[in-house]
Amino acid sequence: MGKTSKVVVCGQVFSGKTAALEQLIYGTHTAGTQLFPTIEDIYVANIETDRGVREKIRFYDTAGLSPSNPELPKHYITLADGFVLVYSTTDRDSFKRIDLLKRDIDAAREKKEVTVVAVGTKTDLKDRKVDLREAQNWAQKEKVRLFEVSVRDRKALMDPFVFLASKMTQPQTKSRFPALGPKVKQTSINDS
Amino acid sequence: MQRQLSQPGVVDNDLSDYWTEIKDIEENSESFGSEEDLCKTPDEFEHNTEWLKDSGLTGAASKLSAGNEVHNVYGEVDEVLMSTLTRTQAAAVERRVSNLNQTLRMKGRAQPRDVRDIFQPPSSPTSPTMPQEDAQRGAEGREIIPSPFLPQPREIIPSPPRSISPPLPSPLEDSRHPPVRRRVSSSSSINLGVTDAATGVRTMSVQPKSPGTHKELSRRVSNQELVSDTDISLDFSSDAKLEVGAKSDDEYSADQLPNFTLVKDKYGVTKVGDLSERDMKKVRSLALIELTALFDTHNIELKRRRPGKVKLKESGVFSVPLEVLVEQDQKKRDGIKTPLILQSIILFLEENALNIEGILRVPGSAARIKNLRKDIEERFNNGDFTWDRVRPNDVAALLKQFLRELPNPLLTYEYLSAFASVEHIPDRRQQLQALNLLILLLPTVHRDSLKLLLKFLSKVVSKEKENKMNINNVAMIMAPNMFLVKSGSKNVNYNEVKMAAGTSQIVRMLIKYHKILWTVPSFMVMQVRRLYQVESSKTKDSKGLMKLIGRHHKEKKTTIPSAGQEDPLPKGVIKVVAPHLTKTAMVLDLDPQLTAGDVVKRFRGRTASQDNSSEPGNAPPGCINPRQSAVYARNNTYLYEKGGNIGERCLDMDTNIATLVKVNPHAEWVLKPKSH
Repeated sequence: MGKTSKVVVCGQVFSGKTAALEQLIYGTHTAGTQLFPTIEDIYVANIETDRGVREKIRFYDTAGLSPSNPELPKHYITLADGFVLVYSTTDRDSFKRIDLLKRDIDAAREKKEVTVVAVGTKTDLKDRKVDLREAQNWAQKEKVRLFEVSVRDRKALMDPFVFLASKMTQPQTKSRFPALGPKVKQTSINDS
Repeated sequence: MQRQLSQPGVVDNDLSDYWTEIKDIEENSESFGSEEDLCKTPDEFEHNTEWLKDSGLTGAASKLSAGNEVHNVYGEVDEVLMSTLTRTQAAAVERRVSNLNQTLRMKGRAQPRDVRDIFQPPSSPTSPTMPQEDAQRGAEGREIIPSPFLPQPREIIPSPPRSISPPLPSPLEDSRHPPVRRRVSSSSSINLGVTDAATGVRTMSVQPKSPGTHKELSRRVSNQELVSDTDISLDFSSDAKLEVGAKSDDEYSADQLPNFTLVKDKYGVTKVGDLSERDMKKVRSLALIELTALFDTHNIELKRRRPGKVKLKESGVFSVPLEVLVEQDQKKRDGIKTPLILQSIILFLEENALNIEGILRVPGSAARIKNLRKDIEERFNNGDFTWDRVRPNDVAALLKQFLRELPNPLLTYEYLSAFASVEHIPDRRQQLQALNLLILLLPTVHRDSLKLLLKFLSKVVSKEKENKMNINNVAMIMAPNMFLVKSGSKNVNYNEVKMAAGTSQIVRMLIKYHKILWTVPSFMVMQVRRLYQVESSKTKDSKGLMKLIGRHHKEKKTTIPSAGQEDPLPKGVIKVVAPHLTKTAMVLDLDPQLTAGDVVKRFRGRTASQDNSSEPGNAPPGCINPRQSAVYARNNTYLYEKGGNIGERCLDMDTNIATLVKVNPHAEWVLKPKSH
């Protein structure tokens, strides 16, 4: 339905961006497999939103950011309709990175024209370094939705992406009244 | 006489199969116009003009047929094509042009022939008014005329790009006497190739491996870098790509054909179907020039006969041109490349006849065949013909009939005699090369059908133990059917014996080597690339300027990137797009080891086999890809290089990408299923 939305998936290197996408789209990723650093991959997926409409989303899987490659190339920031900021719950640096990324995005884009979600990965691993509460505080302050996922649980993994797709493709008129958001959504579900 | 007796092809067993087959054909053929009526041999002028046209030198051809002499093929017309040719190829073209010039002069002024023309070798241009440049080239042309003592091998010295400037002497050539240099250097490298071939051949290396018992010739372009330069230096790597693994000392021992295998180079093998139509057109014209050059060096005349106008059947099954059949069948099923009738006959035979003793040799019953034929003619195109209760031997006979009665035979009238004269080339590798070039010259439908037939024949041969049909028998039986030999008088004369031996030898080679013959030699792919490059640099004013503009554009993009626009890629990576897959694009590092196969693998799921969790049945609401599960690269997905200096080429899985990128830096890389 409508035009294809573009979503840029970004975050620290080895935070599990590609793993999350592959698992999301193909469902074939197994945790702990060998890592290949991505340069840039593009996926196209159909996502059924909570309004029951199937939306075509183009995912830009970007190269992981690292101290040697600290900045997300500018053109990604300008082209995207939505962002998935990925951090690893086992890596504090990756969490700091998404904070910087969020600032970059805010600097370049209007808050209204892009949708951002933050995704903490690798929750199945034991050595957690980023506290859930701390992350939630940050998310609240930045007004982004936060999800914690693991590639082991594909259904939970879908939540952030379904949310993103629904939010991005929401008709403009409704998104102008954020206060009425839940109510409007309710009616739209009833309609369908 | 001596030589004739040991003629390759006259195999230990006699040619009796061949003669029985001919007799059989005679009995089965109903009133059939003699083929002499069907085709005419054009006069030489016409022939040469045709040749120029077919080899892509349309400019020169039109000028000549308008009655003007062409003095300088390079400067005046067709500069693009000529500049990419190698020296031998160019010489072959020049010979024809000068021939034409002569005929024109004779026609126009009706003057007696110039004395100088008589005493000069016929092929060298002799016009005294020739510009100096041409005179130089004329001298070159003379050098290439084969001497009776030395079988003239092909040119292998890297030639500087031909342009309007006179040829630059390469450092290597300087060291030798001009008139003999090439003959010396190249003949030693090919004829004695095994012992001292490294001399004088800069771009190829021959590695003799225990000479005498094992001949392992593997000459290839040693310096890959050279190719990316302006030179096409790997001129003759095509015969170099064929590796000889002959067991016997005598390479010409006819009984066993040596095992040739393709030597893979880093650019990957290019199969005939891998190139786009546009590229194949270029390949075809290059192949014609190359073949002519090859034949010239062996003093063999390349006769190309044009089929005359014949009333053609436009419908039905038998005696219908292959092109018409395919066109009909394409309406029924998409992507058909060979006629359905041929496919289904061969399929039937493959399923039912491979084990039958004497298949293809044992004739069926004439009456049954006649009925069968009528049946097929009436019902095959409606689709209600079934192959039940049909005897394999009858079908085999029908297959032969089908081939014989094609209005234009499988090998085409045009090249039939060329195919037959391949036998006169003394060197086995060059024979193979000539066959390879001829196959490239065949019309696509004929080429594909021939491949289908040869595949079947080689399957028959592979079951030799059960069906008692070895390669010699099969070749001998198929030769008269493919070469349209007619039985003449009762007593077989000497020429016919020679023809019989020669043609069956050719068929034998076709069967044996069909796997490696259906490739485009890599030096020709290189020439095609060069052709594109010269073309594009000619249309755009200058290449340097274009590059500058291109860079300018890119800079703009980086400063004002807008949504959906191509982002500038850093160096050392390529972007592979796969529009029909879920993963539509991927940027890859140019690892020096990266092959096309690796690229395709990256688009396949890592564990593609267990791809069932996304089955549509248990898909919860709000799921990803609800109906169709994600699309991975399938087995028939290949990587293509598109644009840059080639139209489109499907890459062999072993192609080294990094090397290819150097040759074609501006290509797009596309992943898609092969269309057949």
